[in-house]
Amino acid sequence: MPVLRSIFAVVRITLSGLPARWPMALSSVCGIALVVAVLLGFLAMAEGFTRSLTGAGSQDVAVIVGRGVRSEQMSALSPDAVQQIQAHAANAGIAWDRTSVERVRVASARRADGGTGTIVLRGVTPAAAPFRQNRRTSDGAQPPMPRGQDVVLGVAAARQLGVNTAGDTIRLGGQTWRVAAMVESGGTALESEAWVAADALAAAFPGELHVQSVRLPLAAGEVPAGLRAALTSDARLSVKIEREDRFFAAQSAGLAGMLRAFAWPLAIVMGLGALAGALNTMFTSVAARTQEIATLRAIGFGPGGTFLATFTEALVLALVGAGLGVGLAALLLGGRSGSTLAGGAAEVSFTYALTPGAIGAAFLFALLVGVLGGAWPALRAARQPILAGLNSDAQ
Amino acid sequence: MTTLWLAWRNLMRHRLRAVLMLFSVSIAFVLYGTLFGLNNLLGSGDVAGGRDLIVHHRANILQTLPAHYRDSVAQVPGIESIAAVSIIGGYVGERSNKVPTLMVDPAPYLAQNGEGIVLPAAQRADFLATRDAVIVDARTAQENRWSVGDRVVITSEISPHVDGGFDWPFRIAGIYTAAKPEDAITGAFGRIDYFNAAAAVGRDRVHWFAARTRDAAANERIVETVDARFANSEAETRTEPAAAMARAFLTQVVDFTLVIRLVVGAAFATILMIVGNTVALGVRQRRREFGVMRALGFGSRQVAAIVVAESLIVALFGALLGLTLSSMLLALMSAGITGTAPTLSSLPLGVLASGLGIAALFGTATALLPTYRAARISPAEAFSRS
Repeated sequence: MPVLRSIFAVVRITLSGLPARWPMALSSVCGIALVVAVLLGFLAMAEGFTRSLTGAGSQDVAVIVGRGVRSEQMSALSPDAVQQIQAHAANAGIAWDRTSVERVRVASARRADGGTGTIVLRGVTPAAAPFRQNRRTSDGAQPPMPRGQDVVLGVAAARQLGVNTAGDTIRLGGQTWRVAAMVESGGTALESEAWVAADALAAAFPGELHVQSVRLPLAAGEVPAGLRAALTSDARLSVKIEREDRFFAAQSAGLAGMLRAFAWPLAIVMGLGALAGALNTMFTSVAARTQEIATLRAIGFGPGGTFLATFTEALVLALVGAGLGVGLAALLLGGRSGSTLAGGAAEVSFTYALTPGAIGAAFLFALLVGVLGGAWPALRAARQPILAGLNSDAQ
Repeated sequence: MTTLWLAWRNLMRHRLRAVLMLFSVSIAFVLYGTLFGLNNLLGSGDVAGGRDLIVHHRANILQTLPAHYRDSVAQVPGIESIAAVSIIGGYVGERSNKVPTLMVDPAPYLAQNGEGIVLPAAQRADFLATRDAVIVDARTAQENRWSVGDRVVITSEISPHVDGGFDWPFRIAGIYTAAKPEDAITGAFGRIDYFNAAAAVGRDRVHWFAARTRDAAANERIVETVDARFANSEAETRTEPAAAMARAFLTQVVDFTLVIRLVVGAAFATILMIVGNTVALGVRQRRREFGVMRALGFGSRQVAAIVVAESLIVALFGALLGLTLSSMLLALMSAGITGTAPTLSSLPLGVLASGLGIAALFGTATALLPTYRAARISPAEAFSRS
């Protein structure tokens, strides 16, 4: 295919001249890189936050909270309601000792850095442990259940409080607790929680009889329709039952959606600026190659090759820019963790997560800038009159 | 004059290039103006800016404080009145039909919001006298077809009622309007004593205290005194100007100021490189011309001035264009938030002034290296080949 060969030749000649035009090329590359890095920063935060919350939920667990509640700590179930829920569970074949009744409070805590933060304080019974299979101490052992005035801290909560070793004492929710152990949970929101014994937490908030949630095991990965109907049709109850991972996913959706809704318009506006830069670079490149292009045309190369050569140069710059931007984002965000408020006023820490999907989207976005920024200058290059080009003095 | 004229003519020789530069500069200023304008819209942190302060939990505004702090704060010299406030949030019927509801100390809260809440005397007296009374703004009342005396149910999103559900029954005692449209407050106000009697959790805890001081000049001392009083207690406080409240809400989720500084910084860095390089290219391409000018008797300073003028023209025009655009965007946004007609004064003067300052700095910075090069061009360049 001689046509293809000649086109490739023009593309190769053009690209090999790129280093000579490096200052303008660099400005275009950096412009695209910064846009990509900013976009990825927001997407990585949204994704990291979502993962932290959804990772804390399981598809083998159902959680029952007050109807219309989006986060556990906003729920309130009276002692009577808990009994009725357990009766319905027993009818569905789940004995009461396999249900975990949990109290959830948000406690403020003095942070290690001197600021004031918030931590989820969860009052649990031994029944809570089987519902969280992936909690481990740092040496891989099953974490102990808190007894008396013990607290079992998630590692993110421990970091926030400046606790380094088991045996330290901390103050949370107006009480002093002894740190019994610290647990890891694969970077999920569970690591931001502090677990204490349910009766100790009840004693810390005298007079408040309500609990926040009840958990049940799920056999088939779905809430049994009969149980759901029994709970929602019971006139004495005002509750909802959801699979735990879905419940947490819904909780993260609001903030993650807000972040994404902010990220894309911002990236588009910044992308317009980068597009102007790319156009400028490519027009300059065409101007600098006036004689080169005219010479190639004069010795028999077609206008298609000239178009493609300039177009390819724009795409190469855009892709290099995107690669640089991804590298920058990975360097700045890799392994970095942040924390933000989730639904109910408690801080949840998360790790910025650069996903292949987000990186792919960023590359496509950069490519679009390259296509738009390359087409017009490439057209101009292809249409340039040969004789005038040969006579120009490379302005 | 000659310098400016020459700079202008030079720019117009590459019209497309000038337009592209102008466009990218204006994009950077659109981002700058809009984001910092939004930041200002969220309220300034100026403590002496007004007589209204809020005292909330140090951790964040959704954490609650013990209600008895009210008496302690009231004793701080310089405090004129103090009202406890608890959020119950809320909607009516459908979740989308929001009726944001605050439970407040009625007398001091009405006194502090004389412009935003205007009530007929009889309705006011009714609200002050009955525990399950609620007052709503005229628009909300109209949308829900409510009139005075109706019994209504507002469903809370965060505070369960002692009955077990989230439904809070009220009786409408009054329908209020605002003295001026810009003071309008949308939503409903109930009484905190009703909240304390009927809440399933968080009784005798409040989200914040609204305090009015006698003299804004004393605010700084009052803020320090209040926060010092509760230091090292179970619930430490942060006292802030009431105008900073929207920011306090947003900051819980993300450090907005830090984020916009990073974003605007990245935008300016990008544009600095694009424009700086383009100006430098222009100088490289005109070496011979500048040589001719030098041979004709132009001093190296005059040549340098032309280059600086070119990039200043681009920066200042771009800034004006971008700031105008962002002021329109802001007007649309604030109209969207408050539901009033857009006004064209939405860009805060401070943001406008520092924007133009940045443009001047930016123009000089982009011209720095090219100017240095241009000034060193000798008259002999006039005779060099290419």
